[in-house]
Amino acid sequence: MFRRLILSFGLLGLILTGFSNTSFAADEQNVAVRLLPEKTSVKDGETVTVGIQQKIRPGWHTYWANPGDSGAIIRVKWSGAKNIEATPIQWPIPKKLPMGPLMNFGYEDEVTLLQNLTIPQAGREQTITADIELLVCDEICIPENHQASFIINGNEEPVPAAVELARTKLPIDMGWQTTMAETDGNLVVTIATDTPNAFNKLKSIELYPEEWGLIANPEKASAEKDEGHLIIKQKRGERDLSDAPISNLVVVYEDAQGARKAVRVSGVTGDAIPVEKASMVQETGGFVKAILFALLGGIVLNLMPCVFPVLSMKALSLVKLKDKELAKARMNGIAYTVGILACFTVIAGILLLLKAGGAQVGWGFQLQHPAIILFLAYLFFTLGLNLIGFFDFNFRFVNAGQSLTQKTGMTGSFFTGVLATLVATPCTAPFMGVAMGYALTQPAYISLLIFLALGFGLALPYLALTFSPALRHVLPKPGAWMETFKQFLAFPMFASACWLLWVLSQQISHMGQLFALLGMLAIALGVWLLRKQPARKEGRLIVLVLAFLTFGFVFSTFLTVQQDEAKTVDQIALEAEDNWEGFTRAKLDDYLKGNDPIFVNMTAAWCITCKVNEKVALAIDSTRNLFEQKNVRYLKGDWTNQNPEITNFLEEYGRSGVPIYVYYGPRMESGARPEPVVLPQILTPGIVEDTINNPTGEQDQ
Amino acid sequence: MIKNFFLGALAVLALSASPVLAAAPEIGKPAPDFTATDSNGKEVKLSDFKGKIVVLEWNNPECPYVKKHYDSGNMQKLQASETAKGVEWLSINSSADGKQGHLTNETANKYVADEKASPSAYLLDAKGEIGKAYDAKTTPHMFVIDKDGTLAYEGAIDDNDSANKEDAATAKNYVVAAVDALAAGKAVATSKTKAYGCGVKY
Repeated sequence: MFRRLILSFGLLGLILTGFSNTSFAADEQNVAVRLLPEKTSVKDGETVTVGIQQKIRPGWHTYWANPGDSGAIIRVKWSGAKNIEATPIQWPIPKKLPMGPLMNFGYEDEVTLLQNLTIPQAGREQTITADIELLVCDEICIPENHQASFIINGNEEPVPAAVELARTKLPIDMGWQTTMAETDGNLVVTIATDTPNAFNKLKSIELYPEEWGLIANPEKASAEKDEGHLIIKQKRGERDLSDAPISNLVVVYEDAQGARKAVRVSGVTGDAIPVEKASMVQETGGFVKAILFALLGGIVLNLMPCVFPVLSMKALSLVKLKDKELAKARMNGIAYTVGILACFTVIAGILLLLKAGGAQVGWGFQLQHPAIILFLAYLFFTLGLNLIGFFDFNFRFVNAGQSLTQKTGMTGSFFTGVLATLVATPCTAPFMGVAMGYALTQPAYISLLIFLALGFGLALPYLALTFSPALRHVLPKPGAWMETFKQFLAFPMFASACWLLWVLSQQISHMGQLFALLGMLAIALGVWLLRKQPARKEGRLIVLVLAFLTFGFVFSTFLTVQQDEAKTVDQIALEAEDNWEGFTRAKLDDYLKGNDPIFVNMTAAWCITCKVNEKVALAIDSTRNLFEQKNVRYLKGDWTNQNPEITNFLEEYGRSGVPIYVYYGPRMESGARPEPVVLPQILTPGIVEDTINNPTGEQDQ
Repeated sequence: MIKNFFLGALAVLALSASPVLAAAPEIGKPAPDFTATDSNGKEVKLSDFKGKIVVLEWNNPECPYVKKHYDSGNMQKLQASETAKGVEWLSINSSADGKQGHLTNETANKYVADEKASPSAYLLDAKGEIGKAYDAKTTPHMFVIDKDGTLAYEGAIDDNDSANKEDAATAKNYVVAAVDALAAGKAVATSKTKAYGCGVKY
C-alpha cells in the first residue's frame, strides 16, 4: 500500500511537471538513454563534456555511485575514436529510495550523469559510442544494455545548455577539511565548513558516502553545528573504518528556500583527529565572541529610554554619598548586580524550559503575552507617578520598585536590579540579536552563561560607579537641580507606558484596551486614596477599603487581556495597505518560484529597533520608490504575538528574535537565485539600497 | 512544511511497515543459528552442521543477477564442486509471499530440478527471519561459515558485479577462495565485500 502510494505520487508528480512527453510502452526498456555533447567540433586532444541522460520509467529507479544496500553502478564503455580517455562519472545529487528494510541511493524520473572525454585523435568526422550497462528497478530489477552515440566534426548540433543544466544538479565540490571517526557505533563526520549558515535546517541533512559499508544505509543522519564545523552522525555500517579506504562524501541539505542542495568533500580518511578535541577548540571561539557581544549589548541597554531613568535615579543616589561610605556603595553595587543576574537567570530559565518542551519561542517571547505588557505598562506608569512627585513609596504593601530603590539598603539595590531587568526586556539592543541567536542553539549551560553576560553588561556601568571614586566624582554636585531632573525623568516613563499600551492594542480587543486605561486611572486613584491619612480611625478604615477595592480592580484588568484570536496570525494581512504584504511561508515559497526579488522584514510592535529601522530606512519615499522600481516583493511578518512560522524563519537564519531583514535577489540568467542576504540589525537607507543594487554581494553576518 | 509533514508521515509508515534489521553478523563471531524448513518439508538447523563448512546462498529465481549465475551454469558448478568437498550448501529464498521470486515447496523443487541445481537444501524463508538475522541484502548474497560456526565470509559471490552471464566464468570467486582457505586451516584473505545484485524481496 505504501509502495502504491509512492507510485501514484510519483505519477502525479510526472503529470504535474510535464515530463510525460517521454512515454514508455510496455514492451520497451525502462530507461531511455541519450548522449548530450557539450560541443561537437573537437580538435585532436581536446576534451568534451558529455551528459548521459537517462529518462526512467515512472516508479522505477537507477543508481548512484554507491547504490546502497542493493543495486548496481552504471557501466559506460566509450568507443569510436582511438584511445578515448574518460574521467570518472560526475553524479548528480542522489536521493534515498527505501525498499522494505533496505535502502538504495539513486535517481527517479530523469537524471543526467556527466563525463569528460579526451579524444587524442579527433580531427575528422566520427561517431563516438557509449555501450552502457545499467540496472533499473522498481520492486524488481532489470539489467539493461544501451548503446548511444553522437557525431563529432560532422553536422550534429551540440547541446551546451543541457550540459550546463546538468552541472547545476551536481553537488558542489568543497575543499573543506573533513574527518571521519567512529564513536558509540556511529560514523561521525566533522566538516570544517566556511558557510555554516547554509546548514540551518539541520534536520534536512542527509549523508551519502561514495564508498559502501560506512553507514547503515536505512538509518537517518543527525547533524549539529559547532561554530564553523558541521558534525554529522549516522549509525555505522558493516565495514570497519580502519579497512575502509578513502571516501568522498556528499552532504545533502535544504537551503533557506527549501531547495535541495548538496556539497561534496573529497578524500576523507578514517584516521581522524579526535572529534572532541577539534570541536572544543572551535566552541571556545564562538563562545567567547557571543559572550563579548552579550556583554556589550548589556552595556548599551543602559542607554535605552526605558532603562535610563531608573538607572539615573540610582546613580544620583550615589551623588549624596560621601567617600567614607564607599564600602556601603560597593555593597549596593554588588546587590544591584546580583538582582539583575537573578532576574536574568529566571527569564533565561523559563525560556530554556519552554524551548526544551518544544515551544517555538525566542528572545522577547515574554512580550508576546499581553498580561506581561500590561504589567509593564502599569509599572512604568507607577514609576512615572512616583518620579513626578505624586507620591513617595512609603506604603508597607508596595514591596517592589522605587520604594526599595530609595532605601539605601542592599534589598533596595537588589530590587533596583530586578526592576532594571524588567524594564530592559522590551528594549533589545542591537548587539543582542546575534548573541541571543547563538545562545539558543547551544546547550543550556552555555545559553545561561550568555544570558548572564548580558545581565552583567547591564549592571556594569552602575557597578563601576560604586567601585570607582574617580568615576563618581565626575557626577555633578548635589543640589536643587536633582529634584527637577527627577521630575523630568517621569516623562520617558510615561512615554514608555504609552508605547506599551500601543503594543497592547495590537494584541487585545478594544474592551481590553479600555480596561487597561481604566486600570491606570485606578492606580492613580488608589495611590491618591492611600496618601489621605484621615485623623479618625473609621476614616482610615474607609480609605483602606476603598483603596483595596481600587487595586482589586487593577488586578482584575489582567483577566480581561486575553489574547484576541483574530489578532494573532492574520492581523497584518488584514491591515495591509502599504507597499508590503503579510508574511506567510506559503507566500514566500510562492514568490521564490517567481523571478522577482523579495524583501522579508520580521518585526514586532514591542521591538523598538524594528520601529526605528522602519522609520529611518524602510517606510521612506526613496526606499519605496526603489522597491517599486526593482519590483521588490515586500513581505512583513509580525511577531508581536506568537507565530511559529515566523519563529521557524528566524531559526533558519540563526536568530531567536526580531528584527531580521532578508533580501532574496532576483533570479539570474542561469535560472538560479543568488544566496539570500541578511541585512544588519541597524538599517540605513544606504544599506538597503546597496543590498538591492548588489544582490550577489557577500552575505552579511 | 506540509510537504515535510507528508514525507515525515511516509517515513513513519515505512518504518512501521518494515521490521528493523537486526545487527549485522560480524566476521569472526558466531553466525546466528536458525531452524528452517526446506522444500521437502524437512527441518534444517544450522547448529546441526558443526564440524562442516556451511555456505549460505540467498536466492531469488527471477533476479537477473541470480539468473546470471544459474543461466551460465556457474552456481550449479559451485554447488557440485563445493558439496563434493564436504561443504553444506544452503540456498535460502527470503522473497515474501506475493513478492518476486516467492516459491512454495512444489515450485522450489521444480526450480531446483529444472536448473539441475544441487544445494544440500533449499530453504523457504518467506517471513524473512533468516534473511534479517543475517542482514542479507541482495540476491545472491553469500555467507561462508567455518566448521566451528563462526562467520568467515560475507558479501558478493565474485568480484564482477555485472549482470552478464559471460562474466561469471572469468571473475574471481570469493566463496571458493574462502572455503579453500578454511579447509586448509588458513585465514580468509577477503572476508567482507559488497554484496551485489537485486534487493532481497522482504
